Amino acid sequence: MYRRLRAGTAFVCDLVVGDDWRLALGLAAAVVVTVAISRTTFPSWWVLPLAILALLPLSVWLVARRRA
Amino acid sequence: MSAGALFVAVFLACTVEAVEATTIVLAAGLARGWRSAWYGALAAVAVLAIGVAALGPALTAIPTDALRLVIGTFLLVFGVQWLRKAVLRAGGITALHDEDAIFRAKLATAERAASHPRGTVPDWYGFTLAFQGVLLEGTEVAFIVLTFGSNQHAIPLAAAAAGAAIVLVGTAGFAVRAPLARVPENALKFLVGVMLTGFGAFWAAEGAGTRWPGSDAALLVLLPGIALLGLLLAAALRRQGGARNRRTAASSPSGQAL
Repeated sequence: MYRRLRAGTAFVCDLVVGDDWRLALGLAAAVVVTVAISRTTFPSWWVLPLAILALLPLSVWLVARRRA
Repeated sequence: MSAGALFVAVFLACTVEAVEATTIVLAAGLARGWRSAWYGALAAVAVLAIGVAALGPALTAIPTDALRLVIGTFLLVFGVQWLRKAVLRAGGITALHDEDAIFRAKLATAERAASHPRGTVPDWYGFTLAFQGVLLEGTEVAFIVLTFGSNQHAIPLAAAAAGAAIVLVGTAGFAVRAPLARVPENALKFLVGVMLTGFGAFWAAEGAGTRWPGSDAALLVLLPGIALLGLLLAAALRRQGGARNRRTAASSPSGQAL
């Protein structure tokens, strides 16, 4: 039962998080920052596009560097 | 998000997964017999449909902002991973998904396995091969149907888009009795990755309380912007790969001879 539960959790994690957990963590952190800024009077719409712009190339570059 | 955009996004995402599931069911059917393969595929579809039917109404009962924040975050993370995978394949860093090779490998393994019946299933191996294949590929379909559908309060429409993709790809696969290797799977994956990432970011930010400049029109900038980023990254990887190959050729003895 425990093994099945662990396998199920691992499958769901793999499904959502995928191959790069740091990318997933970075995006989740960007959502938290968006929530925090949206509680103030400053605009917060730019946080997630900026996070995608920074994190996706970084993640791709790290794989390319490893394979080079 | 309009009903048309929702339909297209779910349809394209499900097409990619349906191509992969069809390859496995075809291998199971050709190697082990069609009855067991059909039972396995239909059982997996039933499990997925029950999951969507059970979770769908529960999700739509959650307040819109909280739902958008959670669903948007999941979609964003999930979509960026799809986009990353498509960029790495387009850039030549990882191999393209080869349906023909996967089909041949599955077929060879299935032909070697021992046969034994269980209950009304004539061949248990064929049943489990088809069941696992459809269930694993279908989980991503169910995830997309639930996230897109619940956020727009249109789970039936999202399910219909998924069903249309499955029927179309399944019919094509069984008509030609071969894996659908000509489907531009990576291009579709790229497109779906862009859509999931864009809508995920849009909804997550809205759920967090953000107001986008131009409201829904912001998507008209966000989606092409993400697509452009992906294309530029793939082009940069291809250029880097080409330069590396030229350096390798120049430093090798045969390259020096040239």
